Amino acid sequence: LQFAVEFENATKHLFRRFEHGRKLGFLSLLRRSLITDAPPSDEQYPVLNELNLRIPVGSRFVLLCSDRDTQTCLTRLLGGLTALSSGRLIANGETQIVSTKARMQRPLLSLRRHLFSLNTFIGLSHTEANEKTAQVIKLFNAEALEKEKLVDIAPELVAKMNYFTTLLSPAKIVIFDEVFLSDLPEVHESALRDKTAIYVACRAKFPRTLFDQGAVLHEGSVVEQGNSSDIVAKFEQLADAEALQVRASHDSAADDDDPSFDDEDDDKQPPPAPPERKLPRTVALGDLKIYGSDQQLTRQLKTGDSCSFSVSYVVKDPAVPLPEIFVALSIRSGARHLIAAWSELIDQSFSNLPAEGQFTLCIPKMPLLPGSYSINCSVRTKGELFDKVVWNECFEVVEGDFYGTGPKEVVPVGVFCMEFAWKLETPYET
Amino acid sequence: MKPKSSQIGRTITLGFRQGWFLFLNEFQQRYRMTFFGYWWSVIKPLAACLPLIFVGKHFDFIPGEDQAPYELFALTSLILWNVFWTSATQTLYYGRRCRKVLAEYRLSDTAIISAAAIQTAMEFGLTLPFVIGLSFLLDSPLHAPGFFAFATLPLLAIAGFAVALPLVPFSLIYHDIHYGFGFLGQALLWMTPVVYAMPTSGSLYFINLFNPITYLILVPRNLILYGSFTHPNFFLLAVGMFLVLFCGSLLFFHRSIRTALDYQL
Repeated sequence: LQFAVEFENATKHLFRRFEHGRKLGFLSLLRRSLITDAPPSDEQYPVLNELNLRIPVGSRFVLLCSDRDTQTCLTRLLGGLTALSSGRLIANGETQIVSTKARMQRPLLSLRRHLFSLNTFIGLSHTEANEKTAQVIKLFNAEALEKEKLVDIAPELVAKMNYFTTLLSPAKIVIFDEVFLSDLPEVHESALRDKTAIYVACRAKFPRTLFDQGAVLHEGSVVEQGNSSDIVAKFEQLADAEALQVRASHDSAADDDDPSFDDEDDDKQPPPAPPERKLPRTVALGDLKIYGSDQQLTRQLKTGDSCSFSVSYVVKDPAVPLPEIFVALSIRSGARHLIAAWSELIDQSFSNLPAEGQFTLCIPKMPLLPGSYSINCSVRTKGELFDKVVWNECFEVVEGDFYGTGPKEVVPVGVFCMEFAWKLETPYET
Repeated sequence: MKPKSSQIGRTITLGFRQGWFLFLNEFQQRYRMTFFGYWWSVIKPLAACLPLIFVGKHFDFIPGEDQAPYELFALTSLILWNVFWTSATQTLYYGRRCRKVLAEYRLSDTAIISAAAIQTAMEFGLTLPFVIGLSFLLDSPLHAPGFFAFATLPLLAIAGFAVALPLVPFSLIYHDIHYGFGFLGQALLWMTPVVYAMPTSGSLYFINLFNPITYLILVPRNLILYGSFTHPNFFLLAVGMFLVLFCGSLLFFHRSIRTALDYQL
């Protein structure tokens, strides 16, 4: 077979237990269990809608879902834990969900027994379960801990062992909703050899190096399918549009609640025309410019050198006074945010913004290791996001005379702390 | 391609192994915060019998002179009843406890049944020595054909599974099942001649007569206490009925358990 997984007009509904305070469930479950193709009811809502998708054998495929329900449902469908409401899902081989969690993890179980039971729940035979348990224990050099109770072992270690136990299962199709990148990358890679890896996410959180193609799902259907750059760009565009829509609906709800309309007499006057929608007082971000230590425009920086990042902006309605503005710039490698240069963190804000200009971030020593990096920049006030722009893999760091952090570190670390400052420049100053 | 029978065998074996771990994990967890610890597995079933035996003896629930001592009669009946009722309640219990496990792993359909069966077998095994001890204490020896009563124990357990299995998917959506099930247990206990002898007339007689659980309790009890196999036709009818019900329940459980997990809590 050419495809590892194939969805054909796949539709999936989930059910609500409560609808407008009315309890539902008993009868509908009975109906759905006894009658195949039970008619739709008001308690169900779709998470997949006539989905048609093919995932090639051996591919590294990401499914970016616009909401969490779709993500959970897809993961469970692919893992064989739930069935479609209609349509077909064909999986060419066993599937396994990779997870750090083990629901039957009891603190009084010994590590060995816990891993053995996890392998049993996965469906391995006694011998296979024994072998895999031994393999995972050996992988983490945890032979001395195998008789210890889970309560006495670091939860992080148990979580990683759970992860690798599920990852090393014999299934040919592996489904991820989380990834431990920094742990045993060579084992990770070899475990996925000859297998199809499907990453399911509702945020573009998996590093792009992990997958080569994918699809964006919105309202239960595929809206974009292609290579990694295309789908991440589409997904981020979709996420931004959704955020704007949510903001607009909040504004609209606020307008609907306006008490001034309550006093009007509907019998005597025609209903009031909807108020003219005020554009949100928005600051829109524009281009990014990167300057090296020689103050020249560049896309290549050296580790340890000074540099600056300038992001232009435009105030859409200069007549309306703006509150205090905060600017946030994050530098990331894949999905991992390595630097958070947020003006709020250093108590820096901007007020009385000119109609246009640029926010400039000055970094006295670039602390990143050689590699390609992306930038997220957002501008906001307390409580409201005005604009957010993402530049994927927009600059490169080459070797300098400073050792810093980067994508290759072997231990998981948080965001890097470093010295930085923001300044506001108008066109007259530059 | 493997023959179908070996696949079924593998599924049952896997279900038993998964059930064993469900039981083991729960057993360790259940008595974690107690003073008596695992002794509660013995104390609980016996303590539940004591008030019933005390009241039954006081009101002479088994009139007649050729009967076994009431304490032995009631304790024997109650541990047999416990096989039926523990199978039912533990099936519901493991079903509810395994909601998240079911949502994350492809558990075999027989895993929950196996866990409940192991729990039931353990409780029976722990309480049986008390029946034997009591028979010596009261100088009322048990009869050799009583060994055949062991053969009826799986049937009692199957009856329990048949009652509880269809309720498991519902219990994942609403907890009412758990609250209501206790009352059902009380009603069934008094509708079955467990702590009293089956009357010969009256409405209770007819209730007992048409209650299929009556024969699943009467037959092994009479084998143990008197060495006689009574009501063979009714017994076989009840067994057949529960086997059919069990198959239907298992099918319903299989078809509805995943749908039940699609309900958002």
